[in-house]
Amino acid sequence: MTDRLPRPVITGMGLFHAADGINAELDAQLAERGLLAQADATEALSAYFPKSRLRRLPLYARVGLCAAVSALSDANRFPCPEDTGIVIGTFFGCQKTSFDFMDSILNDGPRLSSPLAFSHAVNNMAAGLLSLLLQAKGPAFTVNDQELSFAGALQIGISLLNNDRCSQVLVGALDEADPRLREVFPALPAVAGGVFLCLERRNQGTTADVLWNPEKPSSPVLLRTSDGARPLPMETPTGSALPPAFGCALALNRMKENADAADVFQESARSRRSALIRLEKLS
Amino acid sequence: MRKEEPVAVTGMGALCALGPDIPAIERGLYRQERSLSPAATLSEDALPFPFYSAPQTAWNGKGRQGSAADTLRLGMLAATQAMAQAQWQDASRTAVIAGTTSGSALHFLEGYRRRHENAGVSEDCADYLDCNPALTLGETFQARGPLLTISNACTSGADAIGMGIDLIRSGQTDTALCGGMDALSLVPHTGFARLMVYDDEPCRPFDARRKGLNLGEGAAFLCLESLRKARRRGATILGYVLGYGSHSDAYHFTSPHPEGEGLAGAMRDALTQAGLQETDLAFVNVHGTGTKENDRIEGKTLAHALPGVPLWASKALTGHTLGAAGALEAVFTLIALSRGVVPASVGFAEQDPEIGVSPLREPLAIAKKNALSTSLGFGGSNAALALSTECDHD
Repeated sequence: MTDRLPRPVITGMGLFHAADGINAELDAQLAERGLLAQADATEALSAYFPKSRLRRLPLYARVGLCAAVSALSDANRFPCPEDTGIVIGTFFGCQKTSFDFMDSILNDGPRLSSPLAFSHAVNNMAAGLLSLLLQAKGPAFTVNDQELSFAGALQIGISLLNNDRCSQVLVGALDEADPRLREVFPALPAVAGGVFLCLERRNQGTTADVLWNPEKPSSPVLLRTSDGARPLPMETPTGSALPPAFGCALALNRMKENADAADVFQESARSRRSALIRLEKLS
Repeated sequence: MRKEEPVAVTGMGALCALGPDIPAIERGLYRQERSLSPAATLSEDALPFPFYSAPQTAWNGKGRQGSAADTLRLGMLAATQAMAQAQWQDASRTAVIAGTTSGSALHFLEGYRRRHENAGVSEDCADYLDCNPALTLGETFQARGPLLTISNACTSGADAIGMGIDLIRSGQTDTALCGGMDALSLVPHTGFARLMVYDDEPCRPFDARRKGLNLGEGAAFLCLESLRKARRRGATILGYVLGYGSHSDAYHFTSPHPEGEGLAGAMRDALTQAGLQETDLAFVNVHGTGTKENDRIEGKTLAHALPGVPLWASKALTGHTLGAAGALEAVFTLIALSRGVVPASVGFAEQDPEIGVSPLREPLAIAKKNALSTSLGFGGSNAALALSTECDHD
């Protein structure tokens, strides 16, 4: 059904993270956009939204909004078309509000627990709030498949475009690092931030495909040129949806210069499953 | 959006308060006996709001774990039933798409309580990492295609089915095990009670005196495959998913759009994909939670978009099963279409003048073979599935 039609291509990219030092090149990209290591995304967003609309926005959603707006701006699509879809991949969802609600049950008892914290503790909180603030009325989904969440979100985003459910889709990875999660899972590294890609169907650009359970490549990020494949140094800590999204951001940056394609690989730490995101320039 | 090829349903599995499998659920739907469990069954700390419990047999004699393992257990039971019926020989291009609200959320209250009390971390925290719905189901059934856990509040189960038909239609997978699953725990039970949308008596969807919802728990899975593949292997086809729609309200985080804009868009897309008109519909299985706002806006939207189409509100028999609801109600819809009789809407007695439509008070014999099932959720999500038991596609 889709072979004759333009393919989903990446039209914009946006990043925001509050934990620096993941990768020097990534940090440089963030710095270029003025988004590096800002603990509070409100300043970055104030050019786009009245501060009064951001005041009660949980940090998790604010970071996501910042990355999403950055991707839309990069694609020259802000404000976005009304039928824009949103798909967010997250390992843990909204940590702070989830722990806030559990704290309110434990500290105050169920009878006095916070209804506001509960309503913002559903895992699709960020997707719902982004749809509201961006006035994006296409489908809005949240994917929770641990380290494979971003690959899953990208798969769904591509499927939404291929099935004509929206003209544009924002696909993101989003996680936060609440200290209470570290208490419960001390062995998991904390990786916080947001990365969004903007995709549309076009005849030119860089396509993204997801291959499930491929053979494990020699490096998590491989750049492919006419001379062969070259690894990009990249840390891939477990316990977050972000590393493969950061890998895509790095690879897309390098592909602007001298590569035709790139592979970004991610394994699940707890199941024998993996995904490979293949980025490829349409010739 | 245009008419698309139907996708075949070749396996179904479900469990909820009505029973541990599809035959028991079918009997329960038509007997119309509801059985609420006291909140203390869930936890001695639970606020006094009753709920619809999964059958005791679901817990395999061990009782609830109070962790993500409970949701996984319900999902595994329903998925196993569906896979046994479909008899797929090769899962190399099978997707698993599991909708859930609690199964992937940070709801490990007991483990966190122990941490509060400096008593170490208990197993329910570890269960959170070890019981991811799609990853675990995918590994169990050796599915090698996309494994997707969808957490989209109360539309999750319907969205999982919709994504399954999209992946099949666009050739990204051959077969898809799709559904929804949610066990109840103290976290969502307390949350809905504190939002003041929980009825302390049996709920009354669409009724003028409705006070709110009752929560429930359960799971349902459908085995979906392309019509061509199902016919080629001579599979017994139980029904068809003809269309799906998904729209966001972008209006308010917890209240639906006052004109039902997103819901109307989702229903329109589902009908367009199905190639159906409102006159082709035997009924709509409504979301009908029993809350003031949901039922008022859903009812008004349906009255405007699909005037005269019979409505069936089924949550008074199962409670609101959150991420499982859309998938469970897709199964209920296919059961009613197959049997040719739509059950009455238990709990409904008096029309709300603000809504202006009533769900069925008595069972209705139907000849038409198509129906819609609607779902609405926190965050402004709206989903609609067009389902059928007949197929005119060559």
